Amino acid sequence: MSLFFRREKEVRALIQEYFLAADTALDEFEIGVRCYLGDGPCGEFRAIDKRIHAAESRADDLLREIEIMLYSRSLLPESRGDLLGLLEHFDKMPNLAETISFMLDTQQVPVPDSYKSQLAELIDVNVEAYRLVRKTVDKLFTDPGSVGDAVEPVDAKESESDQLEGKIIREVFASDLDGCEQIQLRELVQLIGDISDSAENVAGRLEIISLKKRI
Amino acid sequence: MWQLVSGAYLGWALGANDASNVFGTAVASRMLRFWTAALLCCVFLFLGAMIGGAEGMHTYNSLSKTTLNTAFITGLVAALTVTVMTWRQLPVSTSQAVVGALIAVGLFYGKLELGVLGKVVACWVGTPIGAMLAAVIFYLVVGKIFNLLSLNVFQYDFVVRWALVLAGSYGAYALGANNVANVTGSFVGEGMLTARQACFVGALSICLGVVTFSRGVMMTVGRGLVKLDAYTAFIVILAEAVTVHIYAMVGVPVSTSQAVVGAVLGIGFVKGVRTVNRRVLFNIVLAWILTPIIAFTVTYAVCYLGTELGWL
Repeated sequence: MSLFFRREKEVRALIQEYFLAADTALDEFEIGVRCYLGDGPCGEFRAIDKRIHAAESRADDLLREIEIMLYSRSLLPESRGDLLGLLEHFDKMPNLAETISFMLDTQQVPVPDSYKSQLAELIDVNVEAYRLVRKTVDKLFTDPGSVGDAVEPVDAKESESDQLEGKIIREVFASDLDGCEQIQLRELVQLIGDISDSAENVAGRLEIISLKKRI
Repeated sequence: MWQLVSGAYLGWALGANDASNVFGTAVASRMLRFWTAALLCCVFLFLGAMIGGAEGMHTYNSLSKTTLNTAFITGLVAALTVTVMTWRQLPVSTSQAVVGALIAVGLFYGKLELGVLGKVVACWVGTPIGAMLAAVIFYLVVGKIFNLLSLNVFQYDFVVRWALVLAGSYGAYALGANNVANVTGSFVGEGMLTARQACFVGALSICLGVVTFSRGVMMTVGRGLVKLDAYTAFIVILAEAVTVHIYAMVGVPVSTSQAVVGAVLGIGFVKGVRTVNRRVLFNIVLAWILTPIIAFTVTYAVCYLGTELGWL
């Protein structure tokens, strides 16, 4: 009996560790992009970019470890499938944080002052979507009955992000910026918006997992 | 007592086939190693046979009187019928094969108890229906309890896994109690075995089938049941075990496979989906009719030939 509990504890501990690494990646991402918007690609931003990369790599390593453990430690196939599907979708968010940070570092995307506040708002909305879905994930492990109620706020944030993205992209392409800058900014905006899209996907999965456990 | 070989062969085939109905899900989903499942299956099957197996022996004994030679023929024909039907991939019932053969012996020697036969056939009809009803009730009642508990994904997994192991163990107990009479029931009587000895020998041969040949069947049947989802598979096994156990107490050996199919159909009713397709249903009905007919015909022919040629 204790063997089964030990297995469960090991998997749970690894999953918690994974989420902490993902949280770190997103927290650093928020700080990093704000730093970039304030001071451009300075030395502080590069240090933060490295921390984002380290947290994302750690999350990836943990994800592989969890996959191996779930396949070798005899969880029921459906529980295994639910958890792995959830984690794989969730992992897109730290991946996006790293991709955006890498893009800013390598391409040094120029952000005109007129767009900085809107981009900061977009970052806020998307990081908030991440945090909301993160709380919902916690509920799946602590109070699965309340998961359904937690999905709606994530959807709302995703819609808010979509509207902001559309507004910014329209303004960018109506501006006098050169074509290359317009495309860079559009790509940056879309990548940031992808975070809330992923959060919405994860929320949908959480709702399905919770419903599947209702008989 | 070399004639017991046919009973042992039938027991081996039964163990190889029917263990999958109780532990297939746990083994196929890799939550239990095959050897752990086989050990649990053998222990509970043996307990079931020794504690509750005698009732079925008495039923078969009162259905038709056998001698050592006719018991040998009964066991052999039933075992061959099961083998052929399995080879043709039809869901076969060992109980129906044995009863078909026993009816032939009873009719040939004019010692058939029609009242007992009526009880047996009624139980055959009642098996899938009973399992269906049990599955519906368990699905709804246990489901309500699960919903009230509001388990997280790990707790749910833990509870369902253990529920599968417990239901499997109970299913093995019911299988032993109910089906051991199929194996050695016809060898019980004057100058042959006592009911207790028959239970012991029958249980041993079924366990041999579990240990030597059930792994492949467990993987096949288990994967089919796993597709239902673990909770539903647990309900199916529980409904099957309860149904088969009740018939063990009544003293009529029935088919665990037919109980499983009945339970799966019951789940379909609750969920409003078709869980068994028409072809599978057709095969079940076909096997349900063909098994006793084939066993009856072959046994009657062998008894006739044996008598004509002076073997019997």
